[in-house]
Amino acid sequence: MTDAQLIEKFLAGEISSFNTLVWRWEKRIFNFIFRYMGDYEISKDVCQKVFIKVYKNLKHLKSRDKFQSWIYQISANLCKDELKSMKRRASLSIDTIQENNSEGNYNLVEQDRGQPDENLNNVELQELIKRALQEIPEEQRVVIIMKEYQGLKFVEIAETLGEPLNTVKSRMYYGLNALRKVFDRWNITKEVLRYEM
Amino acid sequence: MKCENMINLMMDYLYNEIKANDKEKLMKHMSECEKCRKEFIKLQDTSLVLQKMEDVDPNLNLVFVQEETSFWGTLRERLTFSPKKLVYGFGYGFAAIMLLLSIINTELSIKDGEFSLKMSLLGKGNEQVADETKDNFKYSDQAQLAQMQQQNINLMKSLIQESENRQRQQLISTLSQFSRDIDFQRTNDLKIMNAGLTEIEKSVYSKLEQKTNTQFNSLIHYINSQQGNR
Repeated sequence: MTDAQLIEKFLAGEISSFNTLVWRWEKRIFNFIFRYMGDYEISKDVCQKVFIKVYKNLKHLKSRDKFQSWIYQISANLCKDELKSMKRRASLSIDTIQENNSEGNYNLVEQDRGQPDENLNNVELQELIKRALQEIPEEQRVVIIMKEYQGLKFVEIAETLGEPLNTVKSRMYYGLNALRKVFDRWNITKEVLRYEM
Repeated sequence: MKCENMINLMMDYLYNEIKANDKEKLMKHMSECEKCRKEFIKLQDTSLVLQKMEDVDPNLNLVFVQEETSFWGTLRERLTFSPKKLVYGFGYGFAAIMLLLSIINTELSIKDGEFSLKMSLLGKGNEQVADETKDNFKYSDQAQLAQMQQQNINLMKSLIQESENRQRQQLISTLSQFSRDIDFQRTNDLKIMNAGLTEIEKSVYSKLEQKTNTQFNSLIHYINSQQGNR
């Protein structure tokens, strides 16, 4: 059954169809949010907010076949809002500022890692990539996540974000370049990762 | 072609979204430009590093259930007003009151063959109306005014007289019609009563006749039996 059919059934009063829709999208949306936010628990909260918003507003979605771009739009907006409020909260608390001092965190990463070609296990790698994504501007990050992990086409990303196609491609390009610089700084190369190429 | 123009094509090529003719252009450029060739390889490597990040299990298990709200809950929800709702509510209420007042105080009149419609929010007192009427009829010549007033009085008198006559005639006609109706009804009633009485009379007579015959028969029978005994 397609998403559009599930939506129709849900709007006709069948709640189980909505739960099927949630089950189908939950993991994808959560991982999108997790890569955007970089925090597991916060991402869970935001993910719940996304589905609650979807539940409440699905009746207003005119084109049923636009569900994918609509749900990503909601997710991206909620992530943006959440980051904004987190920054606002952090600026109110000196303690929080000290705790979230990004420079300190990454120095710690570099200190912990020591030699780049030694002991880089999968858990560390996951953490480093996640942190690297937090290093680049949000507008580039969202495009990279949608392209690299969600597998959206550039046209779909442009539609979701409401940006011109060329803008999306150039954000992708500059985002990849920015990430490369972060990886270079942390000495993460394909050789270190022992790619099978 | 300039290297800057290759950015979009590189992105399309990296994610297999490039068109055939664009791919040709890019390949041609990269074969000639070492900088772009190296740039593309770096982009590809970065993408490969990113691909190493795996999906995480959300462990959410979200389940939505049908919302069941009580009568009071629904009522409370309906009575909860947002500031925006309140502003709109007051606005609509004010507009409705204005409209209602203007409808109530609408004056519609035909004066000197001219149709006029007046709308106002607040009603005018009788005195005000009288003053206005007086103002509308300003005459310089007092005698002419008196004459016209007299004419108006006469006209009013004749109109009243005519109206009274008409009403009297209507009353007479109604009363005579009523009298005719009563007469007709009375005649009908008498006819019905007459028919009823005739019917009763017939029935009583036949019953009396039967009873008399029976009595006579029994008497004759008795006399005959007495004679037989002797």
